[in-house]
Amino acid sequence: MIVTFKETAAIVAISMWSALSVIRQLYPRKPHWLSVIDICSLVPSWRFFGPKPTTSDLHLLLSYKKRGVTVESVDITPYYPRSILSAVWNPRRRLRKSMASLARVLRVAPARSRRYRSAEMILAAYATSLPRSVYGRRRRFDLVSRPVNMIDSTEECVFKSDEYVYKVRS
Amino acid sequence: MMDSVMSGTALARSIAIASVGGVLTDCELLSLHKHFRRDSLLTARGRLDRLMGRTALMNTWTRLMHKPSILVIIGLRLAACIVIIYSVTQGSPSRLALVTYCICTLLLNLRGGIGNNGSDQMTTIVLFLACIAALVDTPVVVGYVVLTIALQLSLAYLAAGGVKLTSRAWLSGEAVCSIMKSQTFGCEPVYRLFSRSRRIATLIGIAVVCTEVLCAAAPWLPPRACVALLVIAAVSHISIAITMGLNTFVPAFLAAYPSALCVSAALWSHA
Repeated sequence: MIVTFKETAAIVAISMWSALSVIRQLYPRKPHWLSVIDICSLVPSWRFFGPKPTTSDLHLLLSYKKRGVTVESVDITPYYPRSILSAVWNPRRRLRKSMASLARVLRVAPARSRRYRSAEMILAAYATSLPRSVYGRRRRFDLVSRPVNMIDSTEECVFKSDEYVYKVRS
Repeated sequence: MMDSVMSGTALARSIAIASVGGVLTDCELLSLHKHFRRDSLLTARGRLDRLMGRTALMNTWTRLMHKPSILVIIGLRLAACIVIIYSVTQGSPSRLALVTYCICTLLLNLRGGIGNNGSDQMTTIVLFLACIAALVDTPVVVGYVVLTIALQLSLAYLAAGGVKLTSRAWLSGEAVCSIMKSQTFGCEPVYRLFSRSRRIATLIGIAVVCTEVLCAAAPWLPPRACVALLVIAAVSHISIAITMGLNTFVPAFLAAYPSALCVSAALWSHA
């Protein structure tokens, strides 16, 4: 059997991709060297909910001042009530996933790093874009992780923001 | 050596099912169009900032990755998936559509921030490998691609089951209870059932781990055992979609099944 150059190249590329996929499973988090190679996130991680699944919910809590009255900790987390239809159509889970990935950055990235500031700015932009008529002009938000089992664990504050001022959307 | 007709058919089926998953994913993303604004949660993550700096290229990239351009990229990928499905029904997958899908996916992955998960990874793997097979288009590469898809499926189940196997939380049923209680993935009626009977929770926890570990072996077992295990895996994906709302996992993982069956048939045909 004669194998052409195109075939060899394809087989080598696929084999390398497979090898990286196997190596990736050995690490709970993507190692730095792999992040450098895999900039397009093509190497999968198949450790779904393992070994310890997420046992807490993230909540984005907004505190604001309106007509001199301070309102504390209003939950502005994108909430989505699920139905049986969610088994087929469930787009809003992506918002939660996106918030979870921001929380992960805020937990692990150094406080003055570009990634940390970027995650902070995304959450700040989201919190300050909510309508002024409802949430007032001056706002502060906290990202907290609430364990589902409140008996043996307490709430963790992932991020506490400075005060932001409502901006009119352009 | 795999039969070229059999592997070609298996790959075509895998491509068609993965594309159905792609259509679902892109329709969901387009329905969230409001959230692609700069002040919302699905905004671009600025992963290329360090590489590009504040250059004209960076400005173009930033403009491309925000609304409305980003919706055009998602729309283009959706169209590519539809064309792939149509072309598979006509005989062979469209190369142009597969390449378009791959380019759009690379752009979206580089952008980040769209809440990707394991189902997107599996769809991407199947369609990227299909693209390589379509571009090279020889029986050797098609066979190798089918084998790799089966290998990825096996690896996915083995890694997921393997890490859970070492976890006391999963084997005691505590993990399934916690997941069902959470707002993100939970299901109130199922949680109530688990909290009434801890034994059921433990049983389900062990069943999840066993299913994942056993299904990892599916492509390498005789066809009958392979079919039986894949049916169990499919039922478990559907149950997870119903209880946890992880809907896109169903087409994404089902897409790898024709390849797994083909590998099983090829391995055991001479036995």
